[in-house]
Amino acid sequence: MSKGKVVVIEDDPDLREALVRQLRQEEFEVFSAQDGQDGLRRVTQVRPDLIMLDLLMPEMDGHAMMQELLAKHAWAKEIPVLVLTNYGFGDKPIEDWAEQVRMSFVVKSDLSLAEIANKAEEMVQQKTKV
Amino acid sequence: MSFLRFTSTLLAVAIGLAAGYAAAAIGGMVPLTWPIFAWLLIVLTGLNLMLIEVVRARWSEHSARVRVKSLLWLTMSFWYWTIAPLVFFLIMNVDDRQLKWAAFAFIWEVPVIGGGVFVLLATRLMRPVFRYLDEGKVPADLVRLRRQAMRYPFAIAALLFVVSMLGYGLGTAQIALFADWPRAEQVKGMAQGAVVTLYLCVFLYAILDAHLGQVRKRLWDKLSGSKRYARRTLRRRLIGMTAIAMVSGASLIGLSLYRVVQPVLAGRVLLLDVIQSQAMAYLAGGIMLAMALTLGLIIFISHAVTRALKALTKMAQNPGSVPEHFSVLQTGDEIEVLAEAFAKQLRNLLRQKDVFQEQMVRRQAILNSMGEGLVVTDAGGRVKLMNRRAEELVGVPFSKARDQLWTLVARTGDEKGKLIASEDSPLWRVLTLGGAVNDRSLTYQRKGGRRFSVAVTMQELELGERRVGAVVVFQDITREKAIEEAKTEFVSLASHQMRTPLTAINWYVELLKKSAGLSPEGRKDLQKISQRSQAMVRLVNDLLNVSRLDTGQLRVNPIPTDLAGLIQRVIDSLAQLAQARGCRTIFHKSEEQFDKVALDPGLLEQVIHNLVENAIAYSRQGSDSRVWVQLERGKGGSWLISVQDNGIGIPKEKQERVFAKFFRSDNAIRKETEGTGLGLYLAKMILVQAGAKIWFESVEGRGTTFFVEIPAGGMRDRVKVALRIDAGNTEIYEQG
Repeated sequence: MSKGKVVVIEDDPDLREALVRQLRQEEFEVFSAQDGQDGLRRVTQVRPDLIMLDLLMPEMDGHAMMQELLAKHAWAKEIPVLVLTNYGFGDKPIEDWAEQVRMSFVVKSDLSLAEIANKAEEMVQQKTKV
Repeated sequence: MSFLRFTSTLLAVAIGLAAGYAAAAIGGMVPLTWPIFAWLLIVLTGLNLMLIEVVRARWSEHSARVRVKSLLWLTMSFWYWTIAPLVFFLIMNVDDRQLKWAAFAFIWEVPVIGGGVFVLLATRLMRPVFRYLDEGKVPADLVRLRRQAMRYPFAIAALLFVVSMLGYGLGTAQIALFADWPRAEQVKGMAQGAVVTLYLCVFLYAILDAHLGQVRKRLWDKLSGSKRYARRTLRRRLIGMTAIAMVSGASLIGLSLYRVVQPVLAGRVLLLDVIQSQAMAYLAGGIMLAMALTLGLIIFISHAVTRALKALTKMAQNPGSVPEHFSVLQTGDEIEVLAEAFAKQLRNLLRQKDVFQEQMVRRQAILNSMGEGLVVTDAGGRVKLMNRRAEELVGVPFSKARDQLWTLVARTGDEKGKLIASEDSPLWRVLTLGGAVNDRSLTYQRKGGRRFSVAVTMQELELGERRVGAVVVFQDITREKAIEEAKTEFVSLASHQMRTPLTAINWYVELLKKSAGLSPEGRKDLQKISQRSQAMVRLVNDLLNVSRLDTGQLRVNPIPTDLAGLIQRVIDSLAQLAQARGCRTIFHKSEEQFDKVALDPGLLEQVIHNLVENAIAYSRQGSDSRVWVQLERGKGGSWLISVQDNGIGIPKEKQERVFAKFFRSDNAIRKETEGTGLGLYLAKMILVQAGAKIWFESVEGRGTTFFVEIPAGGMRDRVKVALRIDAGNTEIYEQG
């Protein structure tokens, strides 16, 4: 029984792979994307229980992707978002889209894979609790 | 000059005519009664008055000789043609023939004996002084000259008495010989002549003394550099002359009385009748005359004094006019002493004013050569002084800015350019609470131009005990700020760049750890990689924090947190390090459950991590190595965390600098070469900024305890920070 569907959107291939492997080990159903455009397609395709989002990506970054996603699909705002970043130091991204969804925010270098997986599980469970 | 000659000649002619008339009267050709005699005298006196005026008009142009001569002639002739005849008239008994001879004597004797003998002799006497004054001939013996000059007034007055008595003698002889004057009258004549002359001598003494005062002083000063000149003549003058005046007056009264008393004494008249007779008129006349003369004398003296006082007053009111008024005050007596002292003070004052002005100019030059803007305000924050650079930077000249609020002149604003109200500005804080402020977060605006970032230093201005204003020194740091921003951006970018590979290392090590075919050794190796890599992450975080701190951008985001849980997490994360060092970590909570407290978990975790890691790293070797972590509620509901070790401690001489950037005491370096030294600096900066406190107690060789106290309300989120420099202690206090 999977813990839920997760879309991991991260441009760094190594980090992406590590996340995917960990989440799969933790029995999540994992899908991945490598940039904003890709991510948009995936999310629309899969309609996941959680989006894991890197902010800094080429072509279309995390902010732009969320903006477009929320603009296009009404169901999108139900999906919780776990923002992963290594940029800055704990500054919450203050963008419009962040107000419309449930969002958490972590600094990648500060957390282990296990901790991220826990966080993901937490966020998915909260969603189902409603 | 010609006016003088003209008037003198006129006078001489008039005298000749008058004498001729008197002679003719004696011969019987023309009448001469008391009224006619009076008229003759009036004419002569009138011409004398004219002469006085002519001489006075050009007083300063005349030589000393001419001046003295005129003085002598005028004083004497005036006296013997008005006062003396009047007294003669009042006291003496003369018939017509005797009167004519008396008139004749009066008229010719004055110029001949008075003007001729007396004036000539007197001038002769004073010749050495005249030579010195008019021709500049310095005599061989200046001391002798000075001694002579001291005695002139008296000498000349004495000479006058002698000559005058001679004159009176001659006159009396004429009347006796040619007009049969009785013996009694002759004696009376000489007596009243003596009294009249005595009075004149006093007058002449006073006038000469005043006139020669200057001369004497000049001679004295030339001789001795010191000012031991006896200048007590004013008092002498006043007392002496008044006494003589009184005496003379009394004598005149006495003489008048004599005329009245004589018949009584001779038994011819009854006292009663005397009192009722016209003799009273004579008495009254005599008294009034005496009083008038004394009054004249007093007026003369007081005029001299008043004139001096007026000049002194003028000098006081207008210090710049010292030279002109001072010349008036060279009277050679106490008044001159006062005037000199006065003038000296005034000159000092003027000189100081010049010095002061020069200093002002110099100070302004120094201020204007400064590279920073400098503004001095009064206690109300109004501009009192500006240097050139300040004017340039804010684009407002001092003339316009003066007395305006500085915060309005510079349009003080925050970093974003939003105007700050005057009461909220750091300047206000300095003005009301005192102290000093360093602020790099303000902006000013150039009038009609752009807004620019400033680094400002403000200090209260104290005068004695009072705060009278503030001194503001500021600089345009737009460039510096741009550099800072670029640095921050770079650090942010660099840290991001560094974090990503570190993340990859950590995560893959984590994944590796889970793989099955790993030997225990292999597992240990992986652990080492993991630890070092995590240490690297922490270092990157530290660097990022420090850079943020330096630019005042560290943000504290307090959220309700389980403090005990946080501490436990830190201890758990350091469990392996502790084990590696053989150190036991003990966590003691004063209560089972604590409320959540508002704090920034990321930052606080970093701080606690630093403290515990230090405690473990510098703990003692051996099985009794311990680290105690304690959490309890302190006074006022604050949260008190203590981290205690029984390790190497901090040496006393290093304890002051524990919280400084990059500080590591030598014994720590010896023990563990890897610490960065940033941890405690950051810890303090973060905590203080968030409103918490950190301190420690340590004994070298015994151990150290660090304390962290968070106020009951939790950590504060302070965004803008101004540094207050106070007696060498750098403290951060909030603003806004």
